[in-house]
Amino acid sequence: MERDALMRCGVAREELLEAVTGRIPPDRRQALLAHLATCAECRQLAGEFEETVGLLRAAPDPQPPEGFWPAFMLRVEAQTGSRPPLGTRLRRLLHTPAGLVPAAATAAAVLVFALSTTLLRPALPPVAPSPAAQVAPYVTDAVRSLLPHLDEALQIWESGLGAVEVEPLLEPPPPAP
Amino acid sequence: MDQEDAALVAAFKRGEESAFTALVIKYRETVYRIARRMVANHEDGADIAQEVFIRAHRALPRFDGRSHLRTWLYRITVNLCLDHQERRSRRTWVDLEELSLEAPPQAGPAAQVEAEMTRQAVARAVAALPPRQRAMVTLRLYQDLAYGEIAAICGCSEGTVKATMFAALRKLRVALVEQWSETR
Repeated sequence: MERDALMRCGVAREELLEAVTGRIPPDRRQALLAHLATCAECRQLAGEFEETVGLLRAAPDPQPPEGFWPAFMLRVEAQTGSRPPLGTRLRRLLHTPAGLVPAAATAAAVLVFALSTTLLRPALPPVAPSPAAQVAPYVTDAVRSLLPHLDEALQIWESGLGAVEVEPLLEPPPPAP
Repeated sequence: MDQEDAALVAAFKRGEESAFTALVIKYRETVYRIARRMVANHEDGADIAQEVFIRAHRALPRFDGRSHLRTWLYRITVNLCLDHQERRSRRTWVDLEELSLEAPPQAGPAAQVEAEMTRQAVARAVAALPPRQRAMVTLRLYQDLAYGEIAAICGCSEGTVKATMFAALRKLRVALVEQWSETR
């Protein structure tokens, strides 16, 4: 008798799983309800499962961000080589989300401007380097020879002895008479 | 196999690439949703959905039509998601952390706040399931697939799917009750 009751619970729980997560025919549903009316344990389980599945199904479907699918199709086509005809691609372009149109227009304008300034500009004569640029490599030596204090400080700094006390670069002004 | 799918597969095998595009358009959203629910973030879900169709394109000439095209595509999806979880086994923890860092809803009408709390609680509970349990829950509760089809997708018996679903629902129940008691 007890064995029969256990078996019935096992069958009922399998039916319960079907009923709660999907649907079962009316005759099987009636049999399940009849079992639940007599079995408190299965009845409690049915309530718990129903509530859990209800909560899980109440969560909305995940949605990709706007404009995801056209980009997705382009990526799949690029990877599989199934590039659609030009007409289809133009139609897709026209269906680009409105939010992307200003960005695309700005990018196109920048591209046109960049091309017009680089390709259509008349060739300029070659420019000779400025005198300052020509003497730049020699400035350091010139400055070093003119300012011995600076030269000494640089030598200390280059040798990693920056912590050594260094004389001030400028002589202190002579005391007023 | 679904007649429309059979016609599209036959056209693809004859060399009509547009038939493949039509199949992608037909199944892309479902494939994305399954992947998205299994890996719990958009970027990985999108990458997996893309990979599903790249692999399908490669293997479709050899597709013999013994199973539904849908079942075949979902099997590729689930396998890629399981591989992804395997490769990045610590990722689940990252996802759980990301989910727990989501700002609790505080503004808006009470019903909206309640719905957002439910969504976050469910997302955390589902993300905490082992990957195969997560796959079965996703396919059953969100795609309404029969246990037999889920068994074909997951490569196991129908009995195993039912037993796994039973265990998964119990775990989800415990996780949701814990979260509820923490927030109230």
